[in-house]
Amino acid sequence: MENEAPNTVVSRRTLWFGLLGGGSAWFFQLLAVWAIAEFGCVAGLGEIRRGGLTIVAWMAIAASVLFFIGALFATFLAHRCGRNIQSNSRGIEMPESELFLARTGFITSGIFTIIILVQSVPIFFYLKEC
Amino acid sequence: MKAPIAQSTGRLPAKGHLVLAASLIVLLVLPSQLFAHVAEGDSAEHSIWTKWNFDWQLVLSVVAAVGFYAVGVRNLWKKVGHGRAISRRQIWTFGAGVLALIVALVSPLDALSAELSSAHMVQHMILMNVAAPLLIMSSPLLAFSWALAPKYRTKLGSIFRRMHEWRPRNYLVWQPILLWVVYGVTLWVWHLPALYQTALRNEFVHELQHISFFAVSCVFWRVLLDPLKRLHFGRGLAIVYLFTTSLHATLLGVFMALSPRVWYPDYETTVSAWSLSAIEDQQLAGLIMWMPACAVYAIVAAFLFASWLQESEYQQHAPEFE
Amino acid sequence: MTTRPLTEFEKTWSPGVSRAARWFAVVNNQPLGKRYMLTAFVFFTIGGVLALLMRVQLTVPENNLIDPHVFNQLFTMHGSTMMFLFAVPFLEGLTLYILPMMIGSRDVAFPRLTAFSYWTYLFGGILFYSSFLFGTVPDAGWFAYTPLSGPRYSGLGVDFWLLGLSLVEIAGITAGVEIVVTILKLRAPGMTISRMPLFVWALLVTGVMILFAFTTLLVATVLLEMDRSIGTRFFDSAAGGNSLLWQHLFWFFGHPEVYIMFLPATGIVSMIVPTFAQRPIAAYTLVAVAMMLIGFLSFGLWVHHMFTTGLPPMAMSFFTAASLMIGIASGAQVFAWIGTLWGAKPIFKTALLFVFGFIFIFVFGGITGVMIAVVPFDLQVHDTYFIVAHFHYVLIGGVVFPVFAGLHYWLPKITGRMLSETLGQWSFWLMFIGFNAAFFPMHIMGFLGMPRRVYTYPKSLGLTEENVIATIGSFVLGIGFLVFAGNWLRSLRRGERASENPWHAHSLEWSTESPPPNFTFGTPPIVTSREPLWTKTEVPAPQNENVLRAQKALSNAPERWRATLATDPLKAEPHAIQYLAGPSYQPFLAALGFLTAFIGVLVKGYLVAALGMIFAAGAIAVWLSPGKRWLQYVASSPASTESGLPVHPNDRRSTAWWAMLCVYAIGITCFGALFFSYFYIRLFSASWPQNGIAVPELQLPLLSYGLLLASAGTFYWATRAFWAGKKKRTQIVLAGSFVLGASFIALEILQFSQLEFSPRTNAYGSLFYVISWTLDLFVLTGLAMIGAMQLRMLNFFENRIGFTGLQMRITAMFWYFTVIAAVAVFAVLYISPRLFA
Repeated sequence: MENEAPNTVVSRRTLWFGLLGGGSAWFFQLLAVWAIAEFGCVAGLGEIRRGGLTIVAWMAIAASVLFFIGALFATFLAHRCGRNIQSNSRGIEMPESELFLARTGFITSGIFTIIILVQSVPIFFYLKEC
Repeated sequence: MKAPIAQSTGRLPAKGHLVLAASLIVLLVLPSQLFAHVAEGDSAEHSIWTKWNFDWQLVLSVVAAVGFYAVGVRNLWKKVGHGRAISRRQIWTFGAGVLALIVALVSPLDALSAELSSAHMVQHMILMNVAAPLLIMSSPLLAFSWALAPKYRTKLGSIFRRMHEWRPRNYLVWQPILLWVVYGVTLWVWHLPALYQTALRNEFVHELQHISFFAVSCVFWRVLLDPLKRLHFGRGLAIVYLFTTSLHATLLGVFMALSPRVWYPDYETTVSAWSLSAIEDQQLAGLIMWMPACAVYAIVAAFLFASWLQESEYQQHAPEFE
Repeated sequence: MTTRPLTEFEKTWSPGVSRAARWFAVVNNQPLGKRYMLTAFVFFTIGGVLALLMRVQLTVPENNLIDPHVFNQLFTMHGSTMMFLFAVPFLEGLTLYILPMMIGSRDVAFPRLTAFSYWTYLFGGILFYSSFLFGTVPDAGWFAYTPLSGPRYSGLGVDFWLLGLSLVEIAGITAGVEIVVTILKLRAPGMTISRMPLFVWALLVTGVMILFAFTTLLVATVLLEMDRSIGTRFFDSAAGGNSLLWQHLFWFFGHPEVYIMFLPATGIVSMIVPTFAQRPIAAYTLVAVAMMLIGFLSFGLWVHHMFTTGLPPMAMSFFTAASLMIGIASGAQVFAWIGTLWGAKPIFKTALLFVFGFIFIFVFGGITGVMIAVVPFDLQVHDTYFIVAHFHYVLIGGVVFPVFAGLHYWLPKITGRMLSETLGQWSFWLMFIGFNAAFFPMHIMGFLGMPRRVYTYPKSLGLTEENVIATIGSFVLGIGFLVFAGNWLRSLRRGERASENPWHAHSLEWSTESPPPNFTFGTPPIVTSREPLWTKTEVPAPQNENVLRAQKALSNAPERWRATLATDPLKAEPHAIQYLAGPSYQPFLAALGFLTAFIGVLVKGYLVAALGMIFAAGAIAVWLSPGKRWLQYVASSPASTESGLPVHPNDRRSTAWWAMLCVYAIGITCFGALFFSYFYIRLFSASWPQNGIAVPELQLPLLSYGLLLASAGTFYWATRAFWAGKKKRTQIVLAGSFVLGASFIALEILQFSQLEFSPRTNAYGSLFYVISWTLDLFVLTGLAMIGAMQLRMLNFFENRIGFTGLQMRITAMFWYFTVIAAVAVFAVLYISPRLFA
């Protein structure tokens, strides 16, 4: 279980990152934005404005961008794993479970990437002030 | 895995002896104090997070357990090779199990559990459904026996072996039923208002409660999770065992969550500091038993099931027909 | 079919000797499975017509085509029919037909039980619908909440509902036993647990869930019927009862019920997808684990159907988290299907189209489900058409579409004729478009506040257009069903003949002729991989002596009695030759007895009811008592000697042993539901026992229960003597057990006569009596079994390694269970009121 099968071309860790990365990025983005909005406003950061937006909003945007990139990266990794597995294992037996992980990861992480994007939009409308 | 226990000739390093001696004293002299508590009446909200339960007996026994385990694993690995017999992953599970014990008994959760029945429920849940299975998975008995001097280890090993070989008639039928019933009865009986209230008032009964919860859970989980395969139930049986257990545990949680009356009035005086009513606190406790606790059974069942299928598949690929 | 004369073997397996026997005495799984499916489809059509009537009424605002009372009857009957008379029975019918073929068996484990199951189902459905004849149609909703369904607020209609439903539940439970034991015991040699087709895994989980869930519902309906007929007070809050108790019992069934329908449906999909992708399913283990996890978790979630019970809002987050786990498990299956289809070149036949329709609709329904799980949103749309839209997306998407996929997939196997692909595509698109047109607008109606279960709506709501579209859509959906029916009828006459394996599928059912012969497999198949028809040649057949010998011995044999190979539940190694009972009128008569009894209760003619039960019990007794000479003949047949396998093994190799485990599950659930009711009502009572009734005296119960406990000891002694071969002693000691058990019953009656309260006094009295009666019923059954054992020992004691031994084992299992149940009952009824006052 711990060791990789001899005919795999991608590491197990990358595969799992591809599968779970998007979902976790979404989860942490949700937490982070909530915490920033909640505590940032309490701390009075909502009063200070830079470039038309409050500091809180900027922080929330930064967090969203960060996690968006993370999720996008996971999606990309999953996609690349899938391609690598397919192109490198012609002739030999296809490692079905790896391929499945990669493809599932591509879909889930992709969906969560989009969700993060959609979820970030309200920041511009609702965090104008605290 | 029988062999390393029996053919033990490894020597303890000097430092090991020291830790060992200290731990032995603790374990022999103070067995009943294993889960001792700080009994304090004062309950101001702001101070709860600083109330760590550094009761020396408890801390020492945890340290002793860790020491024993470390020394045992070291001796064992010296003998059979690094990462053999007890895997590296098991070291992590042991660490997680000890951490769970600390969270349950040493952290402020312990002080909190004297004020909130829901916190008490979390504490019990961690003891029974987190710490116990994690510790069981890390082969503590094997490690502990390797922390002993070779002479005692051999003796202990043969006792264990004889215990495991002892199979009365219809053992395979009776063992699961017995364990199931013992676990169920322990769970239900301790939640009877009379007994629970006594435990809240009397420190000794409280310890007894925790020890029986923990010990019974260890036995309950061992037949499912022990790394030694021959101590296992069949996987199918294991799933039924967990499923039925989760059914009755769910029922207990449901009764607690839906009850219109407070079962443990002792909490009524302390709960108000947390801007909860006693009934809400109890509902929360019931829900914790109902869902997170029962989810543990479901998740373990899922893992057992998955490994069952994989084992079966593996066996088929092995060349059994010549 | 050729016209050559039938061989002896074929005659043995033909459904019946005469025309009448073919109809009433048939026990083969194939005709019964077909009947089950057809009957379910008739009910489906009726339920659909009811739905269309409702749609017609709702087309325009302030319509008075149908009055409110009739509208209540319509939605009650529509919901109940679809849930109880169509979805589950249809899947059971499909299972009875397909399952044995899929696992390489000749029939299901208990053929006569199949017949009994079918007849009780049919009678239950007829009883249910006969309410139309008497003009007292049930109108309390498909969940029949008390007190609305209690004696005070509803008429005879609810009695029809409860009694009809009870019969259908009995059918469901027996089918559950049948499914579980068949899967565990009758799989082809080599079909280990990790080689079971996923449909079979789904059915195994479903079967176990049925045992627990349906039994609870049976207890609930019986309790409510007692409230209505003999005046117990379980749900009567004026007399200490609790009407919420009904909701708990109902939803403890109702939530798993959703998955009881959904899991087989996903199982169907998991069979179809690999076939049309022409490659094995991705992540087999994951799918199997997901199905088990769904079954496991579904039993903890029932309260999320009933938020009015005083649970705090924070409970919601727990339920959401737990539902999320089920969501992840369901999602894992969807990914497995996508993963299977990805990169393959799927063959877009109608069956696969329905699968795609299923995935689309079901995912949509899942998303609206997540929306409902958000508390503020739920408060907004609760009891509006949004909910109606949501659960129709889930149920039609999650159950009906997979069922149609399954029909298009398996009908060629069942009828031997291919369906028309063109008509199939037409029916799919009509159904898909019609469905979405009918139910998508309902989301909007719900948003805008149109309440469900109300017979009309005001014009000012501004929802006329949406309602018109919905009605048109529902008719298009109906036409889609009709096109399917036409397609099927057409195929029967003019369809192209189906080959053995028209789809180049992977599982065993495609290795016999289409339609399959009565005996399904002349030679029992041997399995060496997960996709036996695809990898047949790659893996060499096992050189296992026993397997080949058993296969040879059973090849078109035995000739004069029906048999199939029984195997080990895990490793699927041959264990025994399973004797399968032949045609018999007894199951039909037993079901008829039940029907009579239930009608007796309905018209409050309790003498008729008692006679009906006695008649049923007699029929069952005859059914379960094969003659000595027949047993000797069967046991000494060449099949047994050639294969070296026993015919009636007396231990856990026997199917009866496993069926007893199912009986345990049923019994435990039965007592569990009663104990739950007991403590639940106690939880809400100011004092216990209620109204100052004294706790029952201990002396007499100590004696009676003590005697019962002692009977377990004598029984053990009797079994020791039995296995040691001492006939006289066994008979005497067993008679002792009988006397002890009988005196328990006598003392119970004596005690009842001394009690100061009756079942009608209050809820405590009702609980006390009903729990005692349930135990008495178990004891009486046990006594009957002991009596039958005595009779068997009189003339066939020597057959201890065969049927007599098996009978002894089963009797012992039942008796010990009864005694343990008695201990629990004693603890609950006599100890617990004293223990924590």
